[in-house]
Amino acid sequence: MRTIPGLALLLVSCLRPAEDRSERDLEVGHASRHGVSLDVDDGLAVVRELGRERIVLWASAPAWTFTLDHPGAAGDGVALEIHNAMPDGVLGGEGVTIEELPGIVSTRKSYRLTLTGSPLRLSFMPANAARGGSFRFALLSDVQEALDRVGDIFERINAEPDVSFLFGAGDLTEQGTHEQLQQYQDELLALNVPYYTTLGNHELGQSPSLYHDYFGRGSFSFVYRQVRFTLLDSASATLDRAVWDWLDGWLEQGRNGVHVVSMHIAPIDPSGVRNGSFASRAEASKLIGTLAAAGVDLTVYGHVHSYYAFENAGIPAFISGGGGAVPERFDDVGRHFVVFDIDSQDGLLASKVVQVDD
Amino acid sequence: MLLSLSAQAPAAEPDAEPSRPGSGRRVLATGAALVPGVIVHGSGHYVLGETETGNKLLLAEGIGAGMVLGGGLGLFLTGASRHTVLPLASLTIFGAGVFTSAFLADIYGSAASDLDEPWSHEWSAPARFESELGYRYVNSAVFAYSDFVFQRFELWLGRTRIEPSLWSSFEGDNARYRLLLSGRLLGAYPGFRHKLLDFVEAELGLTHHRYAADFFERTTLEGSLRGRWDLRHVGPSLRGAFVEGSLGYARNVTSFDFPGVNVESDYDDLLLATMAFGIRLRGPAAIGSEVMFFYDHRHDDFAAGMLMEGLGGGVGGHLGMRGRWFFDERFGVAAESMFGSAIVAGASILVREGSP
Repeated sequence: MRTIPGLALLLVSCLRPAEDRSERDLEVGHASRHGVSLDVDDGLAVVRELGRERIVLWASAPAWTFTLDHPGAAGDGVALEIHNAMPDGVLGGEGVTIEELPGIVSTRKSYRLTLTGSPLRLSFMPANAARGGSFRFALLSDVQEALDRVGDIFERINAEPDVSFLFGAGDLTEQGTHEQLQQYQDELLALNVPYYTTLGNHELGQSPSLYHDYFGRGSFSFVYRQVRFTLLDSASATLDRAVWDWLDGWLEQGRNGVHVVSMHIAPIDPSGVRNGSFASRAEASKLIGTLAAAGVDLTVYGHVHSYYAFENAGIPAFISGGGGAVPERFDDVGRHFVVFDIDSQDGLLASKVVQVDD
Repeated sequence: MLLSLSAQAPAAEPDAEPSRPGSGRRVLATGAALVPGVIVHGSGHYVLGETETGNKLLLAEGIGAGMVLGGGLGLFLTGASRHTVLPLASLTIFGAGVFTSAFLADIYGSAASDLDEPWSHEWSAPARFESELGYRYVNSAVFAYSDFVFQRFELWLGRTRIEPSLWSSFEGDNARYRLLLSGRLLGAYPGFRHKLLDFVEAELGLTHHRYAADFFERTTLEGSLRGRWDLRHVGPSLRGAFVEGSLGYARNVTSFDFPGVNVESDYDDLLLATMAFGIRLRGPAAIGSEVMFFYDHRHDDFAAGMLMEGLGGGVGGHLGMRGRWFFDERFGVAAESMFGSAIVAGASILVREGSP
C-alpha cells in the first residue's frame, strides 16, 4: 500500500527536474573553510579555492562585490586570483592593501592582499562598468563534442574588434564531466575576454551536475555598462519555480533599461514540429509574454545547432548553436558565433553571424 | 486486470475459435510475455503454442525497433534539421508505438481467456449522442490552477462527429474551449454497425485556451488523420485489442493581455501524433467500454511534454491512460490520467443516446 503514495511523490518530484540546480545556485559564491569565509553577492563568482594564504575565484559576471572574513592578524598576506576576469577589471576595497601582480593571461588577475582588519568588503569591476553607451559582445553555444576544436573559434573571436565578453547559452561540453568542464576552462585561456554563460542539457550528463563547481550559477543576473544581462537555467526544458520567482525580481530591476535574456533551450523553437523548446507550450507562452511585458530587448538561445533570427512576441530573438556540435544539415551555417552591438539607451543596434570554417 | 476480464465460462458459439489453453498455461504464457517477452515480443504466444501470432508480434517488434533506430539515426545525422524533422520524428514516434504495442498485445493475448464469448462476435457502432461531465485535477509546477470542471458533448450526424468540450477551472482563471469536427472515412458510425474496431477519420480542431491569471491565451487550429486497427487482424487471440494512431499539424497564435502593456502576438506550430494500445472491456461492462494506454506528442494541453533530464529534454510528449465503462446502453463512467509537464487525473459521468 505504501507504493501508491510513493509513486505519486516520485511523479510530482519529476515535475521539478531543475529544483536541485536552483537550490545549488543559492550556494554558489558562499564558502567557509579553514576559518576563512567568503560571500559573493548574488553568487556572481565561484569560490574555487579558499585558504588562509590563497583564494581563487571564477568570475561569472564582469562586476561583483564580496565579503571576506579572514582570521589573520593585521599585516598578514593573502594571495587572491580571479579567473575569467575582465582584463581591465580593478579590485578595490577598504581596510586592505591591494597589490596587483603581473598576470600571464589577460583574463587572470592576481593580487596580494595585506590585511588590516576583518571582515573586508571588496569589489571587482571593470573601469567602465558603470558607464553607459555602446559595446559589443559575442554569443557562442553548443560546443559539446567539438571541445578539442574550440580554440580556433576563440582565436576568431579574439580577432573581432571591441568584443567586451563572450556570452554563452549552454552545452559547453558533451557530458559535463570534470575532465570536460576543466578542459573548457583550460581552452578559455586562449580567449582574450571573459566568458559568461549558463548551462545546457548536455551539462546534465552527471548527476548531480558538476557545472556549478566550475562556472557558477545556472540562473543569475548582472549589469554591465547599464545593460542588464539575465541568464536562466532552461536545461530541463522548463524553468524551476524558484527561477520564476527570481526572474520577476530581475525583470523589475531591468524594466527601465536595456535587458538581454539568455537561456539554453528556447521557450519556442522556430521550427515548432521539432520542438527543440520547452516541454510545455503554455509555460513557453507565459515566459515569452512575461519577458515582453517587462520590456526585454533581446533574447538569445542555444540548443539548436544552427542560426535563427526571429522574434518572441516582438522581442528580437536569436538561436546560435554553432560551437561545433553535430550541425543542423541543409542550412549551410556550420560553426559560427554571433556578435551583437548593443547600446544602453537604444538596445540592440546590430548583429552579425561570423562563420568560422569559411 | 486482463485476467479479471475472463470471469465467465466459454459459450458455445457456432463460429467460435477452438477453446484456449487452460489457466495454468495462460499464467505461464503471461509470465513469458513479460520475461523474456520484454526482449522477445511474442514469447507469451509461443508458450501458448500460437506460433503464427507470436511470429507476427516478433516481426512487429523488429519493425518498431527498426523505425525507432532509423528515425533516431536520421534525426542525429541531420542534426534534427527543420527540413526533415517531420517524417523522421513521426517515424520514431510510430516506431516506439509499434514496438510497445507488440509487447502489450503479447501480454493481452496470453492473459485473456474469454475470447470465444459472444462479445467477440458482436456488431457495434458509436452512440449517436454522448455527453460527459467530470472533474479534472492538474498538478503543475508552473501554473497555480489545479481543479477543473470538464464537459464534453459528442453528436454524430451521419459520418460526421461534432465534439465540443470545455475545461474550466474552479477559480475561473483558466478555461480551454475546444471544438473537434471529425469525418469518419472508414469504419462504423451510428446507423452502420461493424464487427471490427477499425476506423479511419479526418479531424479538424479549434482550441482556445485562456490563461487569465497569466495574461495570455492560445488559439490553435489543427488537422489530423486518426485510425484504429483491430488486432484480431493479427491473430484470434488478440480479439478485443486494438492500436490507434494519429498524425497531424497545428498552428497556434498566442495573444497577450497584460494590463497597461501592449505585447505583440506570438506564433508557433506543433507536430501532433498519438499512439495507443487499447482493450475493449467486456464481462459486466456494456458495449463501448474500453481502456487505452497512450502516448500523445501534444505539447500544448494541460499535460504537455514530458520533463526529462539530458538529451531528450522538451522533445517528448506525455503518457496517459484513459478508460470508459458503461453500465448499460445509457450510463457509464470514464477516468483518465496523464503524465507530462503536469500530472492530470480525473473522472467523469457518461450519458449516451442512440444504441451503440
